[in-house]
Amino acid sequence: MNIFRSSFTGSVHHRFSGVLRCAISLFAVVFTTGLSGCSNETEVHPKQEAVSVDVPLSYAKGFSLYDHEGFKTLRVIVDLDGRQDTLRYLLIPKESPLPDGFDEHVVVRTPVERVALFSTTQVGYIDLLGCADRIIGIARPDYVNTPSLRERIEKGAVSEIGMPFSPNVEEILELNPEMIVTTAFPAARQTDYKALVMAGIPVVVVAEWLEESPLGRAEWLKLYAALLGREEVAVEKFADIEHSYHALKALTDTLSHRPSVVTGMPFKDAWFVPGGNSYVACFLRDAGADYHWKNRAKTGSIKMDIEAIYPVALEAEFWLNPGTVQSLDELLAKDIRFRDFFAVRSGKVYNNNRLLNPAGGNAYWELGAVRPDRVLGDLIRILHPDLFPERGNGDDSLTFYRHIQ
Amino acid sequence: MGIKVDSQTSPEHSWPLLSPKNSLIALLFVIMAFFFMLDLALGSVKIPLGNIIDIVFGKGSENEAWEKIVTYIRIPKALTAVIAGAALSASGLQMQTLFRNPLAGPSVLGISAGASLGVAMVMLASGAAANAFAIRQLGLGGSWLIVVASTLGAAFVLLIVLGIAVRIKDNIVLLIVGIMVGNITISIISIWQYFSEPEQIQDYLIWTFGSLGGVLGSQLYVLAIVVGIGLMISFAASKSLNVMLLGENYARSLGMSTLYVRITVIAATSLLAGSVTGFCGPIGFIGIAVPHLTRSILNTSDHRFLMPSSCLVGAILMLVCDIIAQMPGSQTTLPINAVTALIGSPVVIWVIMKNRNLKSSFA
Repeated sequence: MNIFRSSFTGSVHHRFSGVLRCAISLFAVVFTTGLSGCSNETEVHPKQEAVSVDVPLSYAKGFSLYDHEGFKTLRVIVDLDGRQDTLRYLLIPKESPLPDGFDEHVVVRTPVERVALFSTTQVGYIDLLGCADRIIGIARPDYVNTPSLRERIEKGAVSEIGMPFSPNVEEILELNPEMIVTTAFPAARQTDYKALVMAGIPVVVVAEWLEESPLGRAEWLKLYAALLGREEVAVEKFADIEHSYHALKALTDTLSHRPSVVTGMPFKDAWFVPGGNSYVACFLRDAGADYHWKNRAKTGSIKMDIEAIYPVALEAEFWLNPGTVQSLDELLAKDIRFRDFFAVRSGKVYNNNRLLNPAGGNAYWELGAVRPDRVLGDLIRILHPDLFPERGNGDDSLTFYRHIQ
Repeated sequence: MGIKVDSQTSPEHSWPLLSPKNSLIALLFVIMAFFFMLDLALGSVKIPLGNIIDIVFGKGSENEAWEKIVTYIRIPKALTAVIAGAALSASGLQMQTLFRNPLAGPSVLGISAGASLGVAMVMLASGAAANAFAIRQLGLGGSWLIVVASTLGAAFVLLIVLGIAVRIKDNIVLLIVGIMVGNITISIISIWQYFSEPEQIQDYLIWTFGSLGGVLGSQLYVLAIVVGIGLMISFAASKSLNVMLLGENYARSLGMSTLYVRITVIAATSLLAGSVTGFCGPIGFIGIAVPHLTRSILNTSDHRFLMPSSCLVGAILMLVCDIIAQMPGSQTTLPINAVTALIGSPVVIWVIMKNRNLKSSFA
């Protein structure tokens, strides 16, 4: 079983949930000040701020970019379990001398040409910017779906650099990337990354999964763009995604029938549902669904008792993202009680694992974060088939979703 | 009340029917029935008691959701609590007697660790031959997969321990070996965890929290049958266990085959602890705490009473833990393992403080 793979656990970035966070935060290592010179006060340097311009962001709340003359600064705000850390980076062209007054910042020389990654989600962003060929190292390369990178992995042009929880520091030092991107989550052993920072390899921490809206997640594209020197491309691509997302959302704005949905996959009697403030709840709202826990103000996922969800699940018109299941038989083998759900009886169960590679890497995590418009398109086609009369009975029109039957 | 027979002095170990101790067992049974109903009555969804009783006695209810919740969620869970509580307590009692060690429990032989190894193999060791997908092609799906894996894991460790038990006469050595085998499996699991994906670790973590829910239909029958067999063996071994308390040398001088008793007890424990771990995850503490609690309630070390009472006390404690874990009225639950340890530890401390001397039960 795999309740957390479903993004509709709302849980967090791909596949981190409340349980893991609770369990691991017991001995979680928080971002040490040594990693990035981060500190909790947001004091500003009046002199530099005077000449810096904010790079406009419409949705993302987790990072901010400032354009100074000749270089940029980046702030990433990581809010985990109520503990907020601000990480500061100085993005400066390779030949420029370092300015004074930025000792607190980790220096990244741009445009970055050699990147090492710790999550396939990051591949989605970098590939959209047309820079997949700059990826020289990745954790778990077998999970990658993106064709251009897949090809380079087969050729042996990409090194395996350990596991998300445990970077292989020696391997990385030998590879000598100009930047490492890692996702912020409580279980990461920051000490390993600290060794890399001390060795002069900047570690950029991202946390797109903490955003409250799908477009907020997608807008992290602009962070990657600033690092890779692809700002114009990012602005253009993001505007397209935004436009296409809003056009789809407009289809459902005036609908009177908003079908009820239940999401996720329980394990025995624990069931995680996305909080009302999570980007997943936002997806459901924008797709014209009626989500039962929409008013539970929480960004991550909420662990609930199966009994509390059962009455809702019995009646819900659709069941989305039931873990990793690929067929109805598999679903019923997990728990025979599912046969009573209306969505199961009426054949309205859909899962986001249409695009799996042989190793089980799901393209939904790779492309879905940066292309929320395509995820929303899938959801609207599933929930409101009458809006797309040309759609056949097959799954052909869906990108990430499969009909569970 | 009928004739009172003092069991302690009865030379041929007769089975008295109506002693105060038997009345106490009857009382425990009534208490268990009460908590069983209470467990059915409380939960996230508020259902009036009248409706619960109607549903339990087959009259049904006009509210379809309520009927399904009681039938498919609460009744199986309460039955699982009773079975698991009884099984873990009975196996803990036997382990404590066999090893004459007050800290022994069903997990000392590494049986729970073996079960965990089986589950970890399915959930964590991806890419290995034990890839869940490969097993799935054998026709095992969903929830059975984990049960079968944990049973095989427990059996694997058990075979090792049994092999050693046949060769080595000393129970203390066996105890140490069991703990070491358990440590080896735990370290293998932690290596797998280190190299696993976050979501796989999560699955495994949730399993380790233990769960009484989700044992339904055919699984509940299988669990009940296996535990039933294990309990029958345990009850049959009661007299031998009484002799074992006096020491192995004494038992041998009475002409008892200690090897036979040892193997019987290990087999019963594996059936009991292995099956419960497979279906419910590793549930701790009940197995260690309940035998002490029962000894202090009954004030006896006679296994003919201790065995049934431990089962009942274990079932009651498990029901109470489940009621607490459900946090009635709230939408969330606590992991059952945390609750058993929270309740179990103070019990053990209290018993030790009260008795000052555990030797009395073990010598």
